[in-house]
Amino acid sequence: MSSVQSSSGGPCTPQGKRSLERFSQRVSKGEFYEAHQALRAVINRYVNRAEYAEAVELAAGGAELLLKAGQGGSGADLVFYLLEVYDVAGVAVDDASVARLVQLLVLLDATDPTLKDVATGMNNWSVKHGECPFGDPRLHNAVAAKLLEAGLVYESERYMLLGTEESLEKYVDLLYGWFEDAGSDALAGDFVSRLVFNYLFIGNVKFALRSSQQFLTRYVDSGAAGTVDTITKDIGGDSGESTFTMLYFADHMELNFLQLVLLTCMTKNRDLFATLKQQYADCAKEYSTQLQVLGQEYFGITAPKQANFLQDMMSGFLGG
Amino acid sequence: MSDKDFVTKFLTLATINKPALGPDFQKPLSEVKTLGVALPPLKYKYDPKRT
Repeated sequence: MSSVQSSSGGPCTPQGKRSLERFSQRVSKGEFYEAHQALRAVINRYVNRAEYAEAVELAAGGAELLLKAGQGGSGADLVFYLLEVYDVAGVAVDDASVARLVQLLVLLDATDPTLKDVATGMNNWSVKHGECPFGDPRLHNAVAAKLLEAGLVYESERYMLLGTEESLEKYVDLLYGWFEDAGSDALAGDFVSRLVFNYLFIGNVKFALRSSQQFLTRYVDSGAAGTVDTITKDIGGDSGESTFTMLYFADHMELNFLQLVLLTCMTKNRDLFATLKQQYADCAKEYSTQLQVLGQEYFGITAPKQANFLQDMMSGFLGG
Repeated sequence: MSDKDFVTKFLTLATINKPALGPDFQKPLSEVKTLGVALPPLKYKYDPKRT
């Protein structure tokens, strides 16, 4: 159980406050190594006495000062120490505990060699001490931004996907910007399909719809999409959104297909799914792996087992 | 059947009944146990220096 109170104003005791002041003075004099070692020793004493709130504040405060002073190595070391204390103290994932990490992550330089390890360490804590099997969405949002800054685009994408509404906006921006940069040879479907499939994989219909519509609307507005018709259908929702809007692209079949995939998953109707795959055979082939996953998730179609000759033969012998 | 005809008919068919999952449906992240399959990387190079 967490014994760490969330606090916004630095260490809880005058003693802790003095330690951090001394530390700050040394840092400002450029005595990074000495300051770092001394603070670590102090934090250690607090940990040994199970005074975790104090240890957390000192590690976080120390890491912040070091990172601000451009001391990535020792700053990151204190971040890892902070995570150790979080773990030992059983600090639960909440606004305060996450905010502390997000603040440190923002200060970490994108070129820091420990960036990925820091991100992983933070996320592992949020997996272990939070409710989400893949980690906390608020943390993911910050991690995604930092990884993108570092040019780690696919790692970033993974975190964006499991992030917040803000992450969705960033994800659309990322893919649309990338699409524009790629130039006239780029196919919008290659980009939109990532939004549609990735969000459908995690059961997020709302974000799949919103992100793909944002992307496609930008494409239409750019004037490069050719002839487009907007078709709106009433889907009888009780409240809120009760229509499905399809942008029909006369020149981009794949974009029509992707929007219909999304609608079909919403219906969970197996026959419609089969009809759709039949009509768009080329697209179905291109995205066969993805459609297989959706088949399991939304239509209860179990994937065909890998042929295993020996096993078949054995079960044949045994009459199974 | 042309693509346009198919789309029109398909939309009608798919929206006769209220969908099983509404447009606001989101599985809570606390219940997400798998991420599906990793999509292949795009064949277009990403420029990290873009703003």
